Amino acid sequence: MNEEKSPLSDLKVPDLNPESHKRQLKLTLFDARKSAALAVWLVAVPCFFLFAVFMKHYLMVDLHIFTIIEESIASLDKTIPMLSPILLVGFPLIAILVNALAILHVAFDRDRREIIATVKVRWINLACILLGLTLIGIFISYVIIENTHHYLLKTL
Amino acid sequence: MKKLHWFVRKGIFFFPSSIPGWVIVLATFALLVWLFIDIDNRSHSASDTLINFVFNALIVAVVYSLVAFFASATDRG
Repeated sequence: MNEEKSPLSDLKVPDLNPESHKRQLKLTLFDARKSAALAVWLVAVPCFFLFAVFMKHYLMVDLHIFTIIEESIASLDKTIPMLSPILLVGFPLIAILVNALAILHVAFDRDRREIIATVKVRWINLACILLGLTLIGIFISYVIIENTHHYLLKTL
Repeated sequence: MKKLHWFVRKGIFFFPSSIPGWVIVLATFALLVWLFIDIDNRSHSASDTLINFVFNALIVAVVYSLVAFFASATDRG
């Protein structure tokens, strides 16, 4: 048999990978590293406050740090109203939002009518979100306990 | 929305890279000096001054970082 070599036989057949077309550029709203850098500053103030509380009430080391911070917040509260909630809850909340927007990508599939959310695994940003949530949890639980423990003690 | 490139991030710090950035940095330093003098006039001891100043400086640094965050170039990686 004398088979002639076809001129098309040397052509490479394209590799059809069904997964490759699904890949897309997923741009997030904020830069992840920049957001983590900002989060460090945003959680620094509540962490400093908590450190002072921990020193005074748990380690019983009174270097007047807590008293001075308390006085400082009280004097700043006169010029900027609602400053303490902004410092202790607002700043961690901004840290959570900025870091969440840096790793979260949300797309809307019109054909299927689906919202597809993708979270990038960036440990620094996830740690910042977790730290922010912990700080907010601590302060909110403190406020709840402080305002309800009188009623709880009466009922018991 | 026009993106501002007034600051450059290095680690957790934002450094100025243009004239508006330098103006903000100088204003921040001026505010810190004024804060220190004001706190020092009201406080009773050196530790009182330092603790009070560190806390106030931290708040100023947070506000500065927040401004620099929105006015700095994005380094996507």
